[in-house]
Amino acid sequence: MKLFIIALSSLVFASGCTEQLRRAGIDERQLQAVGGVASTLARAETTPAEEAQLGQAAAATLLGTAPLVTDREMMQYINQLGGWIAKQTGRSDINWRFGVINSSNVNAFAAPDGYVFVTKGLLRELRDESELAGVVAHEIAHVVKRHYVVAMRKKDTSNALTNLAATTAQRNTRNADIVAQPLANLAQNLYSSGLDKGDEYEADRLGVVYAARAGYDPYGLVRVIAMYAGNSSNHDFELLFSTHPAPQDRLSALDKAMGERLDAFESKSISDSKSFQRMKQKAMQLADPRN
Amino acid sequence: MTRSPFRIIHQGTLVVALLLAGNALATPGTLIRASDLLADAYTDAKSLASLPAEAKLTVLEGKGGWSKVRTEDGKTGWVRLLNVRMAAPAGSGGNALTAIGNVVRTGTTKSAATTGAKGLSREKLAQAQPNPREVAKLDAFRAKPTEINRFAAARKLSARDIPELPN
Repeated sequence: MKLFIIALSSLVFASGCTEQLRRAGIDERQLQAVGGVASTLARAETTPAEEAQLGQAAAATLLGTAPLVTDREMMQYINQLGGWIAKQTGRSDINWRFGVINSSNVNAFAAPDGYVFVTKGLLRELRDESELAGVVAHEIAHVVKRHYVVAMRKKDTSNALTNLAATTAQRNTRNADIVAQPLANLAQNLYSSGLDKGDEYEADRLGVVYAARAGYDPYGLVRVIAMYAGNSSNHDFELLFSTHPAPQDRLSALDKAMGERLDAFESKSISDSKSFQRMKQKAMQLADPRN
Repeated sequence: MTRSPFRIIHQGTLVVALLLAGNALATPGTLIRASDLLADAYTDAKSLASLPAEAKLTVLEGKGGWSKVRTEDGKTGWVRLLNVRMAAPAGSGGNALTAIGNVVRTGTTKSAATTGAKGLSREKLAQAQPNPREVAKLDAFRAKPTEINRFAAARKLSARDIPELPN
């Protein structure tokens, strides 16, 4: 029996695919009986250590397309603004990290384990700090709701996560390289195709609330989405549009969810700051990286 | 000279660009429900006209939950932002003036659109190598609780208890 377990464990490792075992007539219960290794592979949850690796790989993929801005003040600004909004989620256990990506494309991204990015191109388009707060809050919602973790699991046809689970469980850092490329492919695939529409609508609803909790004008995110609607033929918005529901649909969904619920907070809200306008000016003047 | 958002100007479209620049934010829209056109951006402001649903508007600017609009008969006033939908794109071929207007507004030159895999595009995502060194830089910029509180205090931002919105 012991030999069988070892043989089956190796098979699971070698194939990295529990589905093949099932097809070979070995059922879930037998699989679980195989012990620690197999149960690591079959379980439905991703551990915090695995999420940290997923986030790292996803962020590295994004920053592989364009680097962060080198302006320290801009980086400190986005981390303070993001930190203040993240505080309103009650999730101080998340390792929040924020960055401005030096790309003229207009977009914002999140990655597992607390990464949130906005592009220089987005900063150029926004009119006040409450609009930036709305976008950052939308991305924070993706992290809180683990949308990217769930989506990566769903899209994981090459078993990158299964292999990650196996190497993490073994604390085998030498195998880290084996999982790096499949994880990068997975992240690349996800950022090119986008999340489920339902995830985006949920992040819109939560983003509005987080920004309003932080003291900002609740309509900042709504104005940004209306601005997207007015830029439908702009090349710099291409990836944003192809990975999100149509701006009109997002506005209709927010209209339905918000109603007049947040209108009472409007007059006691903050819309802008001198710092934001200075950051926007810097973004306007910042050249794209050479590569 | 610093890089200006109006770089396109030297491409020979000076006159058109300047004509459009003052009007760059004007976007066509439609009212989705009957609303009063108000004299100012608050609920109790004086009503200038009663607008029917489906009224065609030009959106001039936004402020909080409000949009400043111009009606087809030339009246200017405020309606709720979520009562307006921006018009659908004018055909995928694009209206030349709209396209120029967008370029003026965003500072994107034609060259950026034609050089292919630049910036954070789908093409670049497919080609790029992961850059873990950039990711590592983020740790140094993480904001400390005292910095976050100073940020909020400088803007007189105070946290509010607001429940999540229904689906």
